[in-house]
Amino acid sequence: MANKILLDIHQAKPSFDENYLPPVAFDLKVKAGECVIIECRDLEVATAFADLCSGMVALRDGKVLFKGLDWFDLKEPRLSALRGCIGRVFQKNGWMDMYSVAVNILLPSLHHTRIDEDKLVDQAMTLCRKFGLPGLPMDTAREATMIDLFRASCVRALLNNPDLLLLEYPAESSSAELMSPLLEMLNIAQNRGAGIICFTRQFSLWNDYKDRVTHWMRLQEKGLTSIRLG
Amino acid sequence: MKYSDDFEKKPSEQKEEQNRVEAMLSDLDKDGINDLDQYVEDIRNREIDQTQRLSVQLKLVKDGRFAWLQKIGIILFWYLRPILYVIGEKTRSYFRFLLGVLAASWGVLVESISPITWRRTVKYEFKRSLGQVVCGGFFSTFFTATLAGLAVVSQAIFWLGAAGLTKMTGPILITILVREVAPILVGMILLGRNGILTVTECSLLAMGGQLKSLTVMGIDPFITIVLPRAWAFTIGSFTLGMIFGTTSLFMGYVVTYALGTMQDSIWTFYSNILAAMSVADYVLVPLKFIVMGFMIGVGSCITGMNVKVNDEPSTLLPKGFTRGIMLIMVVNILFTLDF
Repeated sequence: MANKILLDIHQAKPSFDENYLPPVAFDLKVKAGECVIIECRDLEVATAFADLCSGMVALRDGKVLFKGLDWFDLKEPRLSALRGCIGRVFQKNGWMDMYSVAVNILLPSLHHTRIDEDKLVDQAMTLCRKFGLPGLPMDTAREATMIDLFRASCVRALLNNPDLLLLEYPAESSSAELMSPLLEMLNIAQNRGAGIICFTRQFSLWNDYKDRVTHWMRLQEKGLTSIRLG
Repeated sequence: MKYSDDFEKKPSEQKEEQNRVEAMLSDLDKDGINDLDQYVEDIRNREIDQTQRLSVQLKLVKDGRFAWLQKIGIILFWYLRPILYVIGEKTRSYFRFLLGVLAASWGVLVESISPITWRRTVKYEFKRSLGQVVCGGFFSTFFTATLAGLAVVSQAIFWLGAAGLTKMTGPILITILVREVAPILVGMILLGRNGILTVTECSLLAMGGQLKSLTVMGIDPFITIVLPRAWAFTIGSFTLGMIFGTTSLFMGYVVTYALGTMQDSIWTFYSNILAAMSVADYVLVPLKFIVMGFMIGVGSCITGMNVKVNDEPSTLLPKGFTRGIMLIMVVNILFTLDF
């Protein structure tokens, strides 16, 4: 389990006209149970890189493999099914206003699995309570507060035990009281073999979790570089 | 860089042109302009624009017997060009939209057959949309049908009775009300109440980036949003159409019965109407409602999802409305041809 490569980005050069990523080759390997913290000051670049990991960015060169499968060799419905194995915290645009937050939370799991709806609701309720929500929020995203939306996005990302977690600036979006349950849940996810990629503006925000972080990286104009923290 | 077309002339001209371009490029380099290809392309476009001026085009006409005719043609075309441009642009836009709707409709039909399409999220969206279409459109349909019953049915019964053509009541009501008026009015209600709502919702999802987020989560927006809505509109249109037909005939009967024009029982009246219907009516009238609802559903979703960056509600909603009306008319005309 520990040596299984979950995400393999090999010399992936993104298509220049499609996204905010610099036109350089990216290399990254995330194994099961690893946690990668990527420092990136530019929010758009971070989102674009998370999209690259999900096979959403067209490549000029190289390849991106998730669980050994090349995103660009897959066709629907296998492509969508594979994306269903990723839990993601979006920094924006992650909520559909026509549904309640509760439906938004359950949506990916209801779509990709056949797990009984009641069981999913129970699992979501447990996670909601862990993150400080009294239950599944029945308001729409427009009516919910920012902090509750962040809690809900963590619940959605962690629901149904995804293989890879892509978290866009979770430490920046949450207060100190929320970091504790988040780190606890990340620890549990890592222990069961999930890979984690977290974007951050500064490494110091992750000091409390540094023992469990396997790679510290920086995403800049020149690409993705590995950092050794002193 | 592409210069080949210009260099295929005389060698002297070729060299002159080459020198001119090279000088220009070296100047650009000094100015620090990086995208030379684009810059040269802009200059060429500007030169082409200049050669297309009316005075330049008139000068280019060679002297001859029919030179004056050629010049009149150039002048006429010059002044008609903006109008032709607008007509062409609109025609192409609507034609492209129609083809897009047909393609998406085919996609919906193909995907609907697959059992893995009908997941819980798709069923949830289908139920939600069907509720919106039927419950939301019920009262509008009921009141419109009542008005149509008072205006069309009662008047038809009254005047046909006065003219001694009572036997023609059934065929005339079938031809006017059931075949023609009901589908158009139901289509308009569907478009106004739910089609525009769908255009707005889908455009907000597209502009807000939620459609992309859905794809990132492995949820295909076409399957989860377009497909269930298309079927909800289809079933909703059929339901509202039946409500409209029944209610308008009933209301027309009630008024004429109350006025004393009609002496028959309600069952005899309905029986006469049904007797006036041919086998084709039993098939084509429901089919007209079904196809119309389906097309409005797909068209509204496509209009909303294909929103452009510079689109605003003030431009998008009228666009959605006119496209919807066009679809209603197209379906209506196609079925009228069949009759």
